[in-house]
Amino acid sequence: MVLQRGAGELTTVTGEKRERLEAILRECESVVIGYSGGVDSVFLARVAVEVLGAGRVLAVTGKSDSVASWMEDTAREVARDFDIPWLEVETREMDDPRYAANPSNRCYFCKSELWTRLASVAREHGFKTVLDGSNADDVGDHRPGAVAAAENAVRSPLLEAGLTKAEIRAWSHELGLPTWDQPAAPCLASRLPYGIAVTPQRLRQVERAELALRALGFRDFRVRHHGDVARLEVHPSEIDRVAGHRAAIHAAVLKAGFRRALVDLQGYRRGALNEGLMATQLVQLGAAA
Amino acid sequence: MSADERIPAALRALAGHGVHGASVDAEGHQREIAAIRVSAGDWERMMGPDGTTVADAVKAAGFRYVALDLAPADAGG
Repeated sequence: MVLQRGAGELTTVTGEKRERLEAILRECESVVIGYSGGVDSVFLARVAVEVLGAGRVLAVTGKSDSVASWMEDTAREVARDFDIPWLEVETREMDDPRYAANPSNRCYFCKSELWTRLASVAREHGFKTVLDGSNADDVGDHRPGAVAAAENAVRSPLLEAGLTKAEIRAWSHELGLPTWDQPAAPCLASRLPYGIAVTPQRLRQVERAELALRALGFRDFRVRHHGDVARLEVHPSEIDRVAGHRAAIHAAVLKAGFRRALVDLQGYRRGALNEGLMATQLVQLGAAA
Repeated sequence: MSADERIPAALRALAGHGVHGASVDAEGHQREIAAIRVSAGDWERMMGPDGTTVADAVKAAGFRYVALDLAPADAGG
């Protein structure tokens, strides 16, 4: 599942923040959680079960072409191993031409679909509140998906409790969650430059190439889709391994359907596809959701 | 096809960092990627700490991304 790295010096989570999170969850009474299998949502689901009891928690994973298969596997395995009630629902964001056109506020349309589905699941199962795993570090990022969450009355207990990513990782480690050091894993559509249509075929190309790199032991990287060219961004901590696997990576990327495989000299950095957009463009597009 | 003035500028930037005999293509939907092919020795060097410095120099020629070809140095295309 998830490769373990040394815990090193993890940050300390104050008792005040722990109590605040528990109080927020109690206030929510019964919860449906948007559960991607990532660090934040796994942690939230685990703590929610501890605070509210398994009968008042349902972790729901949206299944679509834009979700990597290994994320779905992680979601399923962690739910099983930690007794988190889990449900998978199919989402159809690909059917929305506004999403498929891949504007810079694409996430808004995807999350609108997800939160609408989860609100419906909550009603059907008699759960009171829908939650997401946004945390205190997410404030200020370009996150049009947050607009969709607000429109659907989704609460963000980790953010409300002021928990940062580092604190969530530390607490996750304490709880024995295998996701504690999992790299950020946004959906596969994030590998396509804005304006390039999101299609199942393109997403499959990205996933096949990324699966091959994961099989080679890489864990923090992206395969960016530029038409018939793949541009790999590998985290600086892993980039020295690329030379040793050059031929295998090249072959795997071509096998995934790309004509040419490139490795970015600046390595993986979050939000690289936003580099071509002015901050004002991002804000305007996000607000226009 | 009109000449892409960024290519010779990128080659000059590479030469300025001791990378000679390289080839540069503009790739991507908006031709925003400088796709560089170099000798095996330069490839190893550019994948090391020198890489980001060289990338900054090539970016200054007008590219958004700077990337090395993963194909073996003797591969065609």
